[in-house]
Amino acid sequence: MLRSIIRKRSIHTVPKLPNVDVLAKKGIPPVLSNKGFNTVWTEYQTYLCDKLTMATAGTSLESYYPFHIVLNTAKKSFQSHIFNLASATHNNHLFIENILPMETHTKTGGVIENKLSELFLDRIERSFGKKWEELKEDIINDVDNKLLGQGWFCLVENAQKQLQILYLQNNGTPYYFPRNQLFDMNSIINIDEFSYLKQIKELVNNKDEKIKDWTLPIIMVNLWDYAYLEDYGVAKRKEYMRNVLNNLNWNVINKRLYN
Amino acid sequence: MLRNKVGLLRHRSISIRSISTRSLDKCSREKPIPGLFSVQGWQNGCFDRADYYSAQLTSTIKGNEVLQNKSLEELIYECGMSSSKRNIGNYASLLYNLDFAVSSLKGCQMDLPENKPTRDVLLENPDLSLNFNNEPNVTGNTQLQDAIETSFGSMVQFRTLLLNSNLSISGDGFTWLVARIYKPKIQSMSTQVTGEIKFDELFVFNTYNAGSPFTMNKSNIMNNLEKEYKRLENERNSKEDETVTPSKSNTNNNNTPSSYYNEILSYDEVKNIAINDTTYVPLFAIDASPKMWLHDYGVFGKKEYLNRIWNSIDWNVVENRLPQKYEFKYN
Repeated sequence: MLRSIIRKRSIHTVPKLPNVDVLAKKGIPPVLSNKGFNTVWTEYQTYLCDKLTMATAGTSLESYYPFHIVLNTAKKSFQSHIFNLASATHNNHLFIENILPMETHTKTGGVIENKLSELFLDRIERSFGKKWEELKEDIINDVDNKLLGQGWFCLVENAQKQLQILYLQNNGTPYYFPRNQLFDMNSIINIDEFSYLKQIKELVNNKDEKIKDWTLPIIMVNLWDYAYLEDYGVAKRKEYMRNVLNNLNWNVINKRLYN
Repeated sequence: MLRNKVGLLRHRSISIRSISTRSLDKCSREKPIPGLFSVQGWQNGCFDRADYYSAQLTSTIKGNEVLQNKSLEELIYECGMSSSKRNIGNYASLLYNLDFAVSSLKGCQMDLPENKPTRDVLLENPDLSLNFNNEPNVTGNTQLQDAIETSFGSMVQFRTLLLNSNLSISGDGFTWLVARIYKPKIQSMSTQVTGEIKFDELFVFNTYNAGSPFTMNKSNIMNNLEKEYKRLENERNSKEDETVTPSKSNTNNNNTPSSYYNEILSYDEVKNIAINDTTYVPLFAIDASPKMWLHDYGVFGKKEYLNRIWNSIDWNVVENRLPQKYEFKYN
């Protein structure tokens, strides 16, 4: 009992990555330079963790992990500021994990290939009706249209084991669909988007039925300025997106997929 | 490589010709606003963005001569309220906002920070000093100083509200200082010449992403979407009725709450009445996007950037935009 109290988590710290010293010196070639890596991970993740600690210290949320804070605050609009920080903290960790350079040599001297699993390729073809290479090209061309401001790209797997693409505005979360933040509400929305939001509203307001969302993120890409501005410049988010998608750590991603 | 460069040049010349930005066109790329940006930060925050936005805007209005001959303001008014033309409206708005935010900055006499702020700034106590280097009074803009003090209580309150509003934007956006103009009051109650533009109070608010102070009132659009949605739903329901589904009780349930709400004016309707005849004249804007400050101030540097923005405001430019004061105040 005492032990559990002592172990209570109250300060959010930046997760330790494997070989973080090497990453800080060399970055994640060819996606991020060392400066780019330090901005998006060392500094930005520190910023998010510190802010999250300050926002939750002394409240009932202080012993929660960012993931649980996301789920807990997603439905409470008066805790948006906490939700935003927790969601960004969690998303950024998912992002950095799936672009970490892959350990290609095992301890016993064997070689691991950084390769997409057959399962993933099959799932992509069944969900989108096209090959991963084609889909990738579509995503790269879409990115500027789908996200005018800051946000995240997320490939998710839903409860039916289908893959879907989400563009989360600002700090939306893939785990709870009323808080995906799929549309930019600052510009005019069209009737399809309005209908979608309207239906979500009805579901949320329906007290009899609890919303269940079993969506899980498979690939997460940070599209905030902190991730690409340093290395790519304002107009080249597309190029950054291409670089990220071409250099994913499949070892991590294959494991995220249900099998 | 060479081809790339030629492509870029061509882009820029097109953008200069068809989309002009009032203030940025006069700025030099090599001469950043002193005390605020380095050459690279200035290039990132302003010119790369202006080039990118105008290239996007040019491509969205390609082949449409009517739109090509319009000013940015006209594009925002005409396209910013339509979902099919929202790309045009959004890029026009971003370009306008960026240009507007830069237009009232003259710089300050500080050196750029040698070391970027670190995580320690998050724990710093707020600065409690009540005098600031740069106030409208100092530059002789007493009319503006008066207007700010009557609207916000004091200069300290105004500065706190302005800078904290901007600090609270975590993504992209702008914080605006605006003057409110209420049309019917001017027409009916003014004893002087009618048709004059006068304001009653100043306000501070945020817009996010490509939001614009010219297209604030969207309640009509939301009402139309609501009507369209209902129509589509009825169509769907009547189709379902024609087939076998006995879901009638369901549709009845859906109708009850809306008819109940109809007895009281909806929030949107009240909003419509309150702001339909009101316009806001932008006087001054601060850009919150990390594109503006990330390079020179770092991840923890937004506060420092905002302090310098305050010191860099050219109050003469802001006061010149101020309409005449309207004596009657409405609430």
